[in-house]
Amino acid sequence: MRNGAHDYIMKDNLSRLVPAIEREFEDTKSRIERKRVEQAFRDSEHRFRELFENMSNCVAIYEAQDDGRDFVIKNFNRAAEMTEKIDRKAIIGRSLLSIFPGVEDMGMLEVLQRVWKTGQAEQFPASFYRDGRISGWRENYVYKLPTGEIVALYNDITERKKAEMRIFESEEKYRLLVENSSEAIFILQDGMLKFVNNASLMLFDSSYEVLTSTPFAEFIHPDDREKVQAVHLKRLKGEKVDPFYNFRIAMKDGSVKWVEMHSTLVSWQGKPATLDFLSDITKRLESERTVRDISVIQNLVLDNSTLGIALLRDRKFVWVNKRMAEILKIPVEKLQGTATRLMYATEEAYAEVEKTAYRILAEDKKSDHIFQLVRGDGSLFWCRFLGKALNPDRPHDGSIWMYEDITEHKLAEEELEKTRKQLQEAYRLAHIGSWNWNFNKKTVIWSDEIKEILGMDIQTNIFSEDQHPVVYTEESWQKVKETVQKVLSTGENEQVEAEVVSSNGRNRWIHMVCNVMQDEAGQTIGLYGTAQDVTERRQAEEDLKQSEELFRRLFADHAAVKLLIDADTGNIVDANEAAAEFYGWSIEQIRRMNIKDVNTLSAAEVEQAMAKVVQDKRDQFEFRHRLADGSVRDVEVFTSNIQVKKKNLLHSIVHDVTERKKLEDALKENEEKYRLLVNNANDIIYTLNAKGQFIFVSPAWTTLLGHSTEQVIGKSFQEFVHPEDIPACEAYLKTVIERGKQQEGVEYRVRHQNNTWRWHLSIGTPLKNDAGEILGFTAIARDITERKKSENDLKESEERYRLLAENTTDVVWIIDARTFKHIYVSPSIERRSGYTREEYLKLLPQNILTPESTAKARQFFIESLQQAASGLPVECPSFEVEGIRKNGTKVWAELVYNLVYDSEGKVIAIQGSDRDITDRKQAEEKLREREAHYRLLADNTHDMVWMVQLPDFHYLYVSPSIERISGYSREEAMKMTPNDFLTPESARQSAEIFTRALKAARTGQPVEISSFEIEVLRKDGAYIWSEVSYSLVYDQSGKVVAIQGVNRDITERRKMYTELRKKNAELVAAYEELQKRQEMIIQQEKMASIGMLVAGIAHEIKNPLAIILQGINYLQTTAADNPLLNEVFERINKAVFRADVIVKGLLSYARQNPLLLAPHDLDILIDESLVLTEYEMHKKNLRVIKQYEQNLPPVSSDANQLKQVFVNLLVNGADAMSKGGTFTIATRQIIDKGGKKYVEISIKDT
Amino acid sequence: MGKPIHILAVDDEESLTFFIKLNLQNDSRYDFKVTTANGGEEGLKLARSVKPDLILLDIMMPDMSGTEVAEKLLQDPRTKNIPIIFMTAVVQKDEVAEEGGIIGGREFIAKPVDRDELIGRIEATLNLRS
Repeated sequence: MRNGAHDYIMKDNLSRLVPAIEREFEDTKSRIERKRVEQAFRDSEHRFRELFENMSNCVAIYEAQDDGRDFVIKNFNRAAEMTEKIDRKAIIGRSLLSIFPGVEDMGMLEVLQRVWKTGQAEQFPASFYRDGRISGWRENYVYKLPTGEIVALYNDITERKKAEMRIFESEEKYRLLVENSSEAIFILQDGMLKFVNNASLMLFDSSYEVLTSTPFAEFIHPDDREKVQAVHLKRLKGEKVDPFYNFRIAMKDGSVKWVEMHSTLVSWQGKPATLDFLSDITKRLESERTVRDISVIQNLVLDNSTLGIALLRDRKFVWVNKRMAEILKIPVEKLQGTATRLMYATEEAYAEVEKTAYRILAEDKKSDHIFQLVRGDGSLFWCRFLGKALNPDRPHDGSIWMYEDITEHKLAEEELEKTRKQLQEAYRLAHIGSWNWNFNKKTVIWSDEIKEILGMDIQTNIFSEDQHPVVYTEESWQKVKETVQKVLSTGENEQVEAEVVSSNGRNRWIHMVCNVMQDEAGQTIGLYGTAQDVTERRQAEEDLKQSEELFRRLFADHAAVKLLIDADTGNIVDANEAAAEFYGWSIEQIRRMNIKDVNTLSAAEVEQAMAKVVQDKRDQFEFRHRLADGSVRDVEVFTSNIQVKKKNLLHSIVHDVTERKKLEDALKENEEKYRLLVNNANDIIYTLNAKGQFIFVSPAWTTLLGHSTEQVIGKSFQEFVHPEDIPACEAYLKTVIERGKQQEGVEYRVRHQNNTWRWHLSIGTPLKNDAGEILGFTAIARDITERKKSENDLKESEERYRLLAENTTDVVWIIDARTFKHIYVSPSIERRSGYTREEYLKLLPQNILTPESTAKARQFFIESLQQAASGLPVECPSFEVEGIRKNGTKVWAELVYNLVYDSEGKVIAIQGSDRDITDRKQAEEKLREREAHYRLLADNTHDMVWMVQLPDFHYLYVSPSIERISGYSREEAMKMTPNDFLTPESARQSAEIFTRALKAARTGQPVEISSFEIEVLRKDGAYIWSEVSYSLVYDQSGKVVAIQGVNRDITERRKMYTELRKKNAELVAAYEELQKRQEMIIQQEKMASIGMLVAGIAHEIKNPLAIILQGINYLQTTAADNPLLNEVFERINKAVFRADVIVKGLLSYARQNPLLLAPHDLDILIDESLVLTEYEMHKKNLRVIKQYEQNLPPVSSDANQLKQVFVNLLVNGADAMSKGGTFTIATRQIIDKGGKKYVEISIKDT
Repeated sequence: MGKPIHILAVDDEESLTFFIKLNLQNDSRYDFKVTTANGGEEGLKLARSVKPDLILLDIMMPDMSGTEVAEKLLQDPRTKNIPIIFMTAVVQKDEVAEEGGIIGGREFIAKPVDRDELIGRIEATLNLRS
């Protein structure tokens, strides 16, 4: 520029201007050109420099030096600077090896040398560079510039390489995962397995080669192939299918495994395939099935329970069984969730149960109640319920209750109580007390009647030794004691009468019946029975005995000869001591004789005489009787007829009149001797004139009365006769004279010379002259003092009898045969009727008896009277009448009567007696009532009560319940025998049992009576089970005449029993299963302890290994130059590592726990995991928020493995979080469309 | 070079500490000075007195466990900053690797360990290569 044109212009050197301009032009032109070239070059250089500088590739330019042994760094672009972390200023011009010493190891140096030498560009693939400063992966392209410089164009691929490594590692991880997975994992393509893991080999129990060369379908159970293929094809087509499905695989050994397959569609080597996961779920399915079965069993058992069962929570029914719904008459669905309040009839009842029941439950006791509850339909029922808390600390959280409808039971109980009361009442009315002595309870219970009877309040056992002196007389106590012992030893009931000591001195007699009380097992557990006051009866018996004795003595000890003769046969029934003496036979001999053996008359005559007596026509006879010594005596016989038990007995008094007879005969024979006779007669013969003065008196007077006849003749009879008897004698005298003929005699007393009075009987005849004029009175007087005396005796005896009659409770009476009015009645009527005797005699029959009894009595009497009138044999049967007392009450009597004839054989009266049988009647009535009552019981019993007669087994009785049990009507059944209702087997069994019992009874062996079970074939063809208990019925002679028994329907019980047995078997099986599991657990625990042992040993081995290794390391440094020593150390080194590997393997084996699946509560597992990571949490001051869902179902899982997962998650999370962060852990249950339940766990960090 | 790197090796296995000492002090790259202790308590005492740059600490020792020693060292302001590498025979090598060689924030070496690895770990811990 400085030598340009303007220089010239400025310096006015114009001449040289033109050439200058031309040159200038040239210069300018070339200058511009040069400038342009320069600019272009500069631009280009700049462009390349920028390119070089800003290239993303690293560029390094080297120049060989030292004949290629090293290179000088010529240039280094920015990317290279960055990559190598170095400033190019510091390295340009410096040796490559000094800056990057690692290039030789890397192999780069070799490449640079080759390119420098050959000029051939070379690709140097990814290689790792490392020196003391940097390291990294490089990928180079090396070429030679024409300048001879070498350019290395390269990239830092460390990141890519790392990523690759990561991928590789990850791939490795997955490979390990797949290989070590317990699940079988495989790829399925075109029906063949393309890839299988180890678990697959195990699952299919086949080698890799077999698995990959066999069509997969062949492994599937033939029944499932179609299904699996269908799903597989669908999946390949991309249709939506459930990723999980189950099928069976067929094993080589013929067994079957259930597997669950999870498939996903993948691409394998460019073609569609499925990635399949297969797990063996055989065990799980089995256990699921078992659980399902058990739940079915449980439901079955619970639903078939005869008890209502309910689970209660918070005063609500949470769950109830079928029976519970039936009891309450509310459907199960409705009942569940309903408050329990609804089953209580009243608020009070509810409050009561609430108050007591839950207090008991809280004490972990069983709560037992009987309450009246209300059903859904409003009806009330009695229920017994029993509860148990699931957790006694919180009984409202759950309690199990069992309900039993005991209404029937309760009703039956009440019915029983009613019956018992009725029976008690009956006893009370009958004055029968009952008692019950229970050995076990050691108590004796006395009914009030006994206390009343005994007149004392018995607090203790009247059978006890220490009480007896208070209760019994010593004699009775011995009897009672013996009876009790006898009852206990034989088991038979016994009766005893005992005298009870009374404080007022009037001891009472009680009649006790003693029975053995047995429990169900037939063990004697006590005694029971009745007691009745029999004092009155005993008294009456005692009285009767005394009266009998009196009579006996009257007969037996009498001085007169007495015989008692059977009027029908003439047999001598009895004779007294006097008779024995008279006849010369002993009393016993006489008792075997007939009167005809004694009487000399013909049999017919004797019978005739007896008949007369019976007919009351005659009572005095003269017979000739034969004596033992053969002599014959004249006897005068006075006979009266006594009716004893409707038998005519002749009571005969025999007087020996032989001597008298002889005298009379003599008199008759010797008329001349008349006077002599008169004079010598024992009787006095005398004559009175009309004035009553003695005209004649026989010498017997003197003999009998002491006066001489002179003293008597001319005197009036009145001077000798007892003043009291004079009127009678005067009257007699007058009668004889007036009537002019003989009259029956007069009895009177006459004075003896010694001033004693003698009884005389005079029979007088008027003394007439030939003209028939009555001049006086002739009579014979006999001394009858002796007779009179004996008469008095007799009277006394009669008086005694009368008193006896009148003092017995029987009423003796005589009534008029025409009017039926009472003529006589014994005083006992006063006690009987309440009327006085006088009042009673005025009453008419209809006032005395009830109308029915009046009619009945009339009928009996009239019949007997008609028989008598028509000459028929008269029957006088006894009958019963009902009398009316004065106070209107009624009394029953048994009446015995006889007709009374006058001397002409005409009936004039009816005599009889009656006996109060009210008590007996009442007892009978009671008995009948009781019979009716028992019949009612039998008829209405739920069980079937029956009695069959022997030997044909026809029903004597069967309760109507047979209709329910057998289906046959009672009428039909009565025509059948028990065996007709039974199955052949049961009929045979029952016949066998009865035959055995009857045989035992017949042969006098103990009859073992036990119940047995039979199967009844109903009319409708159904079968039911029945339990029979029976006993034999004996008649009085001890012969078995019938069998009675009770059949009870036990079909339910048997069913239950069968069920129970089944359940028991199941329980046993479950128990065995449990035991097996327990053994497994023990085995696992053993393994665990082996693991611990191994870990311990490993530790002990590893320390020495560490020492050895360190030692060798040291020795290696000392023997660097000795190849042999190095070899030795290397081998020892390897051996140490091998030992380490073995120990490691052992350890990992010990730690390898088999998958232990069990139901676990995940919340608990998480909590336990949190405890394990406490250190990390605490260290970083982390907070944990738990959001657990309530009532999560337990999940079948391996607790340890799951915990491992949780711990890893938590530790990783904790590492990633800053201090003071928060973990939120939530669990919830989710259910997928298929109804499958899952538990979702989410762990969130901040 | 200057000041040597002072290492305290604590292990009840006397032979092990003996060899560790021998190997470390024999190293050509670094100037290690090794003090050995054959028990937890001795180790604790020495750590306090010699104040090493790093402690190699065995865990399972009869008198006082390594973790206990470490805890006590942490509580002491004089020793709390001394880095510790635990040595144990129980933890597996692969487990250590998996967890980055760190359990509870501590360095771990699984026994048996060879010299190079031992030195490598010391290098890493003390950041000797940067």
